[in-house]
Amino acid sequence: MKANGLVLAAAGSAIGAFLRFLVGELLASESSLAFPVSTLLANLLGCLLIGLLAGRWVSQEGSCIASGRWHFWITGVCGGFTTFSAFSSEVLVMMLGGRGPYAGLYAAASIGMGIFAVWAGLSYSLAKKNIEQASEETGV
Amino acid sequence: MSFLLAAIGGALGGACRYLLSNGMVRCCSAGFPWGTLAVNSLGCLLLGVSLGAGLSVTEGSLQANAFIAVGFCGGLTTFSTFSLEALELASRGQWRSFGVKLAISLPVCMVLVWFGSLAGGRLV
Repeated sequence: MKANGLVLAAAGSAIGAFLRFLVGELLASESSLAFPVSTLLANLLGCLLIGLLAGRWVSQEGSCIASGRWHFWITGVCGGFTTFSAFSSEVLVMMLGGRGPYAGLYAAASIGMGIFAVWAGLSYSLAKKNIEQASEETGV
Repeated sequence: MSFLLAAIGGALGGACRYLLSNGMVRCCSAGFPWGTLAVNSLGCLLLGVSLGAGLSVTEGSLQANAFIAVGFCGGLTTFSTFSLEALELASRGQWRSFGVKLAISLPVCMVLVWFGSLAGGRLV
């Protein structure tokens, strides 16, 4: 079971990193913009996805579910698709390059919008689950 | 080829993240999520070293950058779990942990990129 989770997390992470590399290549021409848009896009999409999935799969006792799908999709795909290292180095480079205000804005926007994206995904999935459960109970 | 290297690096990074964060915290029960901070810190230090050693996109080879920076460091670190945990702390009313997590994660990681790049040979 342990090894299984490891393999699933690695496989999901390979797909996530591959997709992030793809996003970076597709948006390479936008690199002249003030913001590292590809990292921001990958991080926000990953946050939305983790919220949607966690909302679907979360149980009463909390979000820590040692299931295969959790390891593959949440630890693997979402974790591999998003990055904290590129984010941190970009903020650092912007700051050292004398673009402090942009660095602050990029950092605040990433973290603020990231948490908002998780919340939005989570809320959507939980609301959907409640509606499904309610309709099952009433037999509709 | 670079796509494949990014995927392989990502798989290795993700496997390390799985092992390290599982080792740090048995479960995401109450308390501070140290596991994510640990993997993010390690990934940032490694990225710093590789950038300092000249493996950036502009200087190094595209393949090396795809494997180490994009793949391994990107796969080892995570922004999605970081955000999910922050939201969890907030939803449980653990505002102190929430504040600490938001306040220290990015500065710690930035310092480690900076320190790593110096150790790797040159400032980013």
